[in-house]
Amino acid sequence: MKRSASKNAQPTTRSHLFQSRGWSLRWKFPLLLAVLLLFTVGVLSTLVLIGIQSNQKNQIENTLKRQSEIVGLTIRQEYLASNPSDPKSFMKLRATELAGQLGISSNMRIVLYDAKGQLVGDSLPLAPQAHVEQALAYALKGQIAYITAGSSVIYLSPIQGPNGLLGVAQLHLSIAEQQAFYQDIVHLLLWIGLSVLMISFIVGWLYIRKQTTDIERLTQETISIAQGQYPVAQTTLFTRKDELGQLGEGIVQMGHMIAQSMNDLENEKQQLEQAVTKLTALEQLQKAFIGNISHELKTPVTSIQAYADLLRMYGDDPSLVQEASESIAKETKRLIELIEDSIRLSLLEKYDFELQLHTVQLDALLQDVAERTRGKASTSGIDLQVQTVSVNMITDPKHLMHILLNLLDNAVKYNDRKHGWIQLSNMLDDHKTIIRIANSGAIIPEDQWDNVFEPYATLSSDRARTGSGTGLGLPLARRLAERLQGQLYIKQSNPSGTVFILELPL
Amino acid sequence: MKKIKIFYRRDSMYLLISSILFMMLLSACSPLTHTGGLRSSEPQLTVLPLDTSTQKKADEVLLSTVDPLKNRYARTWLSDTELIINKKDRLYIYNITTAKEKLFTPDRTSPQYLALTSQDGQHVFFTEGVDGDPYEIQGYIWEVSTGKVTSIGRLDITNTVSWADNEHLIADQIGGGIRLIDLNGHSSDVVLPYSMQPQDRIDNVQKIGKVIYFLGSDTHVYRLVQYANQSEPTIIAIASNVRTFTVSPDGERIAIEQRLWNTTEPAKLIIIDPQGDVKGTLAQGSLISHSVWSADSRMLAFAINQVNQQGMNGLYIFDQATGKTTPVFAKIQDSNASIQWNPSSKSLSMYDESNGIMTYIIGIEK
Repeated sequence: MKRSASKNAQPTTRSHLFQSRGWSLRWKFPLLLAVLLLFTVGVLSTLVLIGIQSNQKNQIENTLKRQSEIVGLTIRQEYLASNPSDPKSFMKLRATELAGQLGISSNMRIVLYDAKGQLVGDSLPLAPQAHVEQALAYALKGQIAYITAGSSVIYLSPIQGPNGLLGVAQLHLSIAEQQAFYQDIVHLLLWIGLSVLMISFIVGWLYIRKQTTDIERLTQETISIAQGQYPVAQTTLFTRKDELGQLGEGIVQMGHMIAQSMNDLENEKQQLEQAVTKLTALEQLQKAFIGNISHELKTPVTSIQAYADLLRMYGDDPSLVQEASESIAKETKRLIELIEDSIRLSLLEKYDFELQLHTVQLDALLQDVAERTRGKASTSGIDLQVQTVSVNMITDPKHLMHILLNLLDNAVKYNDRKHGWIQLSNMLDDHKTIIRIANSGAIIPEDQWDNVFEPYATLSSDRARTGSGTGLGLPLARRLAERLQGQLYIKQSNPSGTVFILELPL
Repeated sequence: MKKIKIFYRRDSMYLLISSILFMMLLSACSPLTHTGGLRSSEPQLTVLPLDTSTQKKADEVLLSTVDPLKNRYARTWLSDTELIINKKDRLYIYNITTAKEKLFTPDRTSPQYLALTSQDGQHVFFTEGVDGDPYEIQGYIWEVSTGKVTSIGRLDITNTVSWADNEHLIADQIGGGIRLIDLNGHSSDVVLPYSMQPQDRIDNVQKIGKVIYFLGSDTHVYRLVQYANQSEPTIIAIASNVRTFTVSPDGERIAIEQRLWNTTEPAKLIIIDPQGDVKGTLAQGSLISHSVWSADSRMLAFAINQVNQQGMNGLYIFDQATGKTTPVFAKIQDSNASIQWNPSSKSLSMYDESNGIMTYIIGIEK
């Protein structure tokens, strides 16, 4: 699955959120289902067996009751038909015959007792006698009692005559058939119950396994999110549309939202870090600028102050006055230049001046610049050579003039006083023109090639004391070159010379 | 972070399973071993409550006396103490109090068979044979007060004759139709609806008031009424699949023995009203015969012959007052037994030929 990772992943979260909590749902649910099924099957089977047993009991009791009523009625009517005499004598006289007849007609063993509990008739006289004393005692009191032993029921019922108890009838009924049927049902229920249980458990386990597999997948997804691996928005966890499917969609959506939030936070953080870095650098620059400009402003002012003090003390010395006026004028001019450059640079950084574009004959412009600088260079003993090719270009000539004058001025200022030289040339390269200003000035270390274009970043701490520059010329020149869609940089600086390159589009 | 337990899942699961197992234990242990001991390996005694014994209950009829009369057929009650019996093809009046008998018609010599007393007890219809012709039967009416005998003419052995009222006998005819016979022996045909064919067989004719009931050859019981303003009587079938039926003397209830032919379904003794609506089923068995209403229409005596079923073959009495059917007399093995109530409905007579001819005079308590 596609997912995006966050830098803020927290793997340790898993141990707290998803530690093991006992049995899996895969087993819990089927076990619960099995217990419920077992309970249901057990209860139903028990109810069925109770129903069968109750029905059998009722059937047996009804059968025996009906037969005992027939027996009782038969004996009663025989007693009534026999010109009623002493019941005991009647039973003694007729019980054996009646027991035999009733045994045949009812297909049961019939045993008859008189009102004293004495056995007086038995349809199967050779069969062993059962121990029925307790039940017989109840029957002699007028109650029906029966004994269940093994596969037979012995049922004792009182026989009522017109004037009281005639005797007791004892009926024997086999219940082997009912017991066999009951056992068959028990076995049947056991087999059916176990079969249903197994089938239901397997089906339930398979079904629940599918659910728990999906739940585990959801769990894995949440773990991945907790570890910082977020799903992409188009991810589909399940094809199902039920609650689990909806939960899966929700988790994916949630992960995507978290990923988006984390990315936004990361971007903001990076922007803040860049801003802080920039502010720090700016602060450093401001500090340096303030230090430099303070120093640059202080140097001519100190010189002016010194001459002012000398004039107050020795104002009558004409030579001193002459020298002081020249020096004060010079330092004042330097102050003015310094302030103008600062203002120009500041304005250039603050505002985008509209360029005054014109077609310029570059070689002519270069000759013009060289001529303006030649006098100064000659005074310093510097050889200025110009080698141009004819180029027409569209640019702002004032800005270009300012850049070139600045560069040539620097080339004069920082050149070798004895055998110095300056070479000004231009060439065409593809769709741009390259202006090359080489001189025999001081070597600029390579790590300072960019730094010299920063305001007041001078190479030498006593540069100001030479009294030549403001420290703003090169930064101003680079800004102007960038305004002209060009670039200004140092190409080389070694004993063979220092070369500044100005590239401008045609 | 504060942890909140919403529910105790594991504890709930254990509680549920424990409850189920406990219930299973209860359900498995409780009932099986205490339902009468039919499955007990040890002898187990069960005593039924006292009221299930065979002692007489207040609302039951009960056999109180039995008087056997050997070699006699009970025919009809002349009064509560006199029973007309048949002994060796002669009718006798037997006094159950003195156990003495006398000839019914001492001056008549022909063989005598049946006898039926009118509802007021003033006349007795009886039949005699004809010497030399075993299939010819003559019918007579004997006047109790004077001893006068009136002939009603020749009858067939298949004819059923009953008292329509105190002055008329009613009988079906061999060739079809129904006739009324008055005390003078004059016979008149009952007008039947045009829809009936004259030759349609009619059986078991009974008349209660103005309503005549009979059993048609289609085993339907028909109810025939001749209204004064109608030219022909109204006839409706009120029951089907009937073998025999008996109308109560008050005409409110009819006991029918219903049997689906060509099936093994047992016969049913059903009580219906004169419109044919079933009021209840009293009994069922292989053969239900000789249902007879008591004179007060309260009790119905009938015999059940149940082949291949456990149960009593014998006499039962249904008491309308209690709605109960009670076995009364077990010793009836003969489906030809004839049952007759005495006028006070306290005794009834019946005979059984299964082990020789034996008439029983049975007294009951109500």
